[in-house]
Amino acid sequence: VSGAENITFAALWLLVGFLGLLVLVLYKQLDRLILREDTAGVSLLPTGSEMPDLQVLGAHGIELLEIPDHSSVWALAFVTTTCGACANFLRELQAIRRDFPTVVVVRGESLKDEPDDPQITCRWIAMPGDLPELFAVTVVPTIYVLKDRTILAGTVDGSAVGVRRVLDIAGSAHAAQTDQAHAGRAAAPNLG
Amino acid sequence: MFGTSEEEMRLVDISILLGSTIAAIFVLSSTAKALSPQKATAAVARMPGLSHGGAVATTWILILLEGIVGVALIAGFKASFTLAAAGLLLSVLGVGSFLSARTASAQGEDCGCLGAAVAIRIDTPVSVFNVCLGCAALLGGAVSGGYSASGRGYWVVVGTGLVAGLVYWVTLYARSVIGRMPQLDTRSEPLT
Repeated sequence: VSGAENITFAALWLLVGFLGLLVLVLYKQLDRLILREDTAGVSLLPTGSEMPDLQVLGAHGIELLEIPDHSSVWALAFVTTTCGACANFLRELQAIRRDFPTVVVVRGESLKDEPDDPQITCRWIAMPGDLPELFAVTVVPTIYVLKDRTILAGTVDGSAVGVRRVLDIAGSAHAAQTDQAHAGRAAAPNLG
Repeated sequence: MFGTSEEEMRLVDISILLGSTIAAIFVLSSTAKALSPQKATAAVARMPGLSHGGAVATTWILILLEGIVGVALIAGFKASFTLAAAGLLLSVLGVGSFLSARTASAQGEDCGCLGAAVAIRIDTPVSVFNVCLGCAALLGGAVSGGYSASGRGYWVVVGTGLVAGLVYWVTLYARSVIGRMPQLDTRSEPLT
């Protein structure tokens, strides 16, 4: 190998090495973008607080959102029709088995894939501008788990892990409620 | 089997190329891990039945082994023996990462292979590739009869191998980042 060839090879390696580092930096930026948390500053309604009234569109115009079952645990989710994470959340929601109802409050024209699940009810929001003030909804999807009107938990994580986490809380609350009901029924005869 | 001197030279060149590729893989990994060993320790600690102290010790043994074998391969020191040692080490690491990948979550955990520099996720295909590369090095060490750093054009082949090692890590990182791209779909979006 001549001196000129050695220099050529060395230059070639340096170029490939430089390109390799460039690709590494580009992927590093993409990695940061994936890991970036846009929801760090989001503060939801605190646990134990009372859910405010919410106006939704009904068959006869604007009406107040009806709570599915006053004595039971339920989930309330806020989505928009244009958000990709919301569509993903609705898919995850349907894929997970639940023993309690979920009300999905939608903002926008129409959902591309409306959930086909008897436990999920979609209602369209009447006053979208009220969401940040009433429900501290600044990002979508936002999901709350409630018992009657009391908030048990909330999340803005629409991933499978986030949905499961919040639904686990709801499931535990639902199970505890069911146990209490059974214990109440079992104890009832002794009260007399 | 490899009768002519030309065939032997070709085998030696392939061995040098293979050796320097593995050397670059080891030296880059060893240096990055030595600068920040915490992530590698966490990855080693995922192996069943290993205490924290054991994980720390194993990590530093790996760092030293990779560094020594890598430098020895580049220097062409007892190449036949070093190449076999590198092949064995790579195969063991490949099997280890395969076992570790099976216990990790679906998205995969950072193997800590490049310390805190970038997060590399080793999945089954990469583990299998590593074992194959290790076996090729073992075979190369056995059939080539070794090489020395004084051969004609040695640095040309070594340089190419070093660049190939860099490309190996860049490719692995790219695969890791691309594998996490679906997470972008689950990120909450601002309510606009």
